[in-house]
Amino acid sequence: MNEAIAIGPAPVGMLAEVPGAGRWLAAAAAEGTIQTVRVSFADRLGQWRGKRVPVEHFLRREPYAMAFCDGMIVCDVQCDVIEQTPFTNYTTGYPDMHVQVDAGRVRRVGWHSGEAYVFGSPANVHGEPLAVAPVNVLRQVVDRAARLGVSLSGRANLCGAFLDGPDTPTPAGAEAATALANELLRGLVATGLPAGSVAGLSEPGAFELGLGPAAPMELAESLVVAKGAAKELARSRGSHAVFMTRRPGAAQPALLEIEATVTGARGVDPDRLAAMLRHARPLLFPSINAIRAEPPKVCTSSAAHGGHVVSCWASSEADAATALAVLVAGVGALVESVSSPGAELEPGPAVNDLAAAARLRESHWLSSWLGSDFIENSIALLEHEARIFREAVTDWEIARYWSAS
Amino acid sequence: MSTSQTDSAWTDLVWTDLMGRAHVARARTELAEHGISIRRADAAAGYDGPADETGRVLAVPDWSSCRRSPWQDDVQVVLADLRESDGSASDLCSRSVLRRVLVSLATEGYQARAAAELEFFLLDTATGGPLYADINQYSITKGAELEPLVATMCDHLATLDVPVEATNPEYAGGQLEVNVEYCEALAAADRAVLVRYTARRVARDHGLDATFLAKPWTDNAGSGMHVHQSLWREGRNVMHEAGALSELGRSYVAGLLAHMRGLALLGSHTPNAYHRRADYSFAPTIVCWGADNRTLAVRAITGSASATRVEQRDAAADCNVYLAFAGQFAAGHRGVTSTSVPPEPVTGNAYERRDLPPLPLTFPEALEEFDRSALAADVLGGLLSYWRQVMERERQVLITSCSDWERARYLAAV
Repeated sequence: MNEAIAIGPAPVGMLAEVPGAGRWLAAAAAEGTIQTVRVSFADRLGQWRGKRVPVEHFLRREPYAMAFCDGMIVCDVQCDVIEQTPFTNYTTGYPDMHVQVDAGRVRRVGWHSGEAYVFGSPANVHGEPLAVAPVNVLRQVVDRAARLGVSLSGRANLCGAFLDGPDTPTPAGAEAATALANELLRGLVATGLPAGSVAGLSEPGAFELGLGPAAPMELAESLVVAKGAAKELARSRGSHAVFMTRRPGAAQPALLEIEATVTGARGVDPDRLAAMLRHARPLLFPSINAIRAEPPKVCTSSAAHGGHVVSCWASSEADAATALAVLVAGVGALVESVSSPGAELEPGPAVNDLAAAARLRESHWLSSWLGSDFIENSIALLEHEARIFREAVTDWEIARYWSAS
Repeated sequence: MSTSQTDSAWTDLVWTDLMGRAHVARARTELAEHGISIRRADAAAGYDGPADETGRVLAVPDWSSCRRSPWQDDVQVVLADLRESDGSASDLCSRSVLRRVLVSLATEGYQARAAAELEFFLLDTATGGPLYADINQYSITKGAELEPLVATMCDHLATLDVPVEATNPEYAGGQLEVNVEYCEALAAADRAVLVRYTARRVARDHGLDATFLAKPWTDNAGSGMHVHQSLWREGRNVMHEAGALSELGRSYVAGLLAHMRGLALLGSHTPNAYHRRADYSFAPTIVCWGADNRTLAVRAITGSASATRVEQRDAAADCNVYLAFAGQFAAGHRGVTSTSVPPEPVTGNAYERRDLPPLPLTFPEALEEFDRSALAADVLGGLLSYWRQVMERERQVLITSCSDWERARYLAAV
């Protein structure tokens, strides 16, 4: 592990501008220091997915595209395909989606020797970006905001916990969790990601990872990788990294705080932005467990040098690209409504129940910025989650009502 | 190198029995040259053990398939054909069955290329169950967890001249998929045999087991072998035309479909394999084809000239790879020579298409279809009688057995 950290390229900065990374990979392959490239994409819930490709094959096939079953970008948290998803289902036949990657964006995995990874953008067979892929949505939202003169650089604080099992902290307690968290930070830095700090929290095993500043695309990808790295490191030590929002024994929910410095967004009203984010809440708190979490605030906004600082909260288990897209879309929609006084901006009702996810359709700004395909498929996923919860009998119900009724 | 003999002192001859299981016989290299004598009873073995056969056949090295052993420096690995003492191809040789089909294609100028996509389960030796329970398809973190085993497997396969394209956790707990680069069809079948052999051996080295059984558990996905296939002439993929499947490719598909029911047994030769064939299982249940669609039996994957191919999806991962390949290429060839026209491609959910012919959904049904297939007899040639004998034995065992499922369902209830 230490060797991997020492020899990492560590090009902190824009993912798209890693100079000579393709050549670096070829050299590393020749030296035998890289054997495997993880050809990756993030699914609708921000899970890191992909295939492991021997580096020789990857280099021989560059520019590299890989086909995946498209159902896996919109699967549920248990990796089940959801027949009600309009994007893909048994009627479409779950065809291939294609992930085209650029060897120039390959990074060495800093916490696991011998490996590199690269993310690509999911596209259909014609090369058109999939509208259900959060990374594509975020790119589209950022580009649209830029056309309005709005740009955003973000920091993120991600809470998680290292536990021995679903219900128990690591036996070694804070010390073991701290060691793992420190190893996580070192690994992410060695990977060249904008990870800056890690701190233990008061709950046993809990930690908060600080990432950024970075552009939204880089921040989103870094958060996917950070969660994956935490899980890998924990498993390699016989424990688990969890990002479940409300876990037993934890006083505070595990949240993802995004603090964004926004330029070109004069006149953003934090109350209106907060109302918009309350409407988009199922996208920010996308599970039965998460939706019941109470973040300290929905969002805050304050003036800063050269722009506004906007902070918002999502659950730690939320997909970071989606959360960032919602935030940028909210800011962008507000700016748009200011610059076009005739345009009505109805934030939409607050949505606090996944079963009511269909209400996401009620706000024009959300569909307009994130795309109606993305919203419709998100609704399908959220309603599916609500449906299987409704059908489940939980241990809480048994404990509370079994003998009392 | 797979093109010439290495200078290793020892040679591992890999030969397969009727069920497609790999066996390894080791000899001093200078002796391996002439073949190693093995019992006909073993070559003809079914699932009951050695067949009721006497005499011997020779496992004769095909030096063009020679590669270094990943396990020992002074050992080389060579795929072997089974031959009679007079040097003629043995009727028990599945590899020769495929070779005959490919030679027949070659006489018309076609080179068959293929890749087998294999799924298998890693098993916990203590419980006999899958190594883990939850589905982790394409999970990078689960893949990293399995890396010590998977990296070893890929390294060993690279030494065996089996270039792995990619690996990933599949759609069931403990299930993995291995994708191997496509190549000439006989070499592709050899690669599949070596993948199965290597996966099992590496799993054991890591304190686990691996199984390619088609359907190990009722509630889990099964393990299939998808065969990607194309025909080439003078270095050009003749299944490709202007970004689509060529007329020849369509005729090839027509052949696959016309013979799919009759040849089903070659890809699914155990009663267990038919449990895979369930609606909404991602295994096909209907004889049909179409563009990229995972509910179909044959998927046409088009695009660049080199990538255009058809994928037949019905075979089980535990099949005799040589016979499954032989059946599929022979069927496709029939379609090409008769310039057959395929039915309309299916779009949408094939599991709902009750108007189309079903694939055999049980072993006895597949056996009946096989017996009616003239092509099946043509393809197998002298192997037919041995194969038929083993399949009949499986049928008898099936109909006389009483499973735990039956006892659990009926014993106390009736």
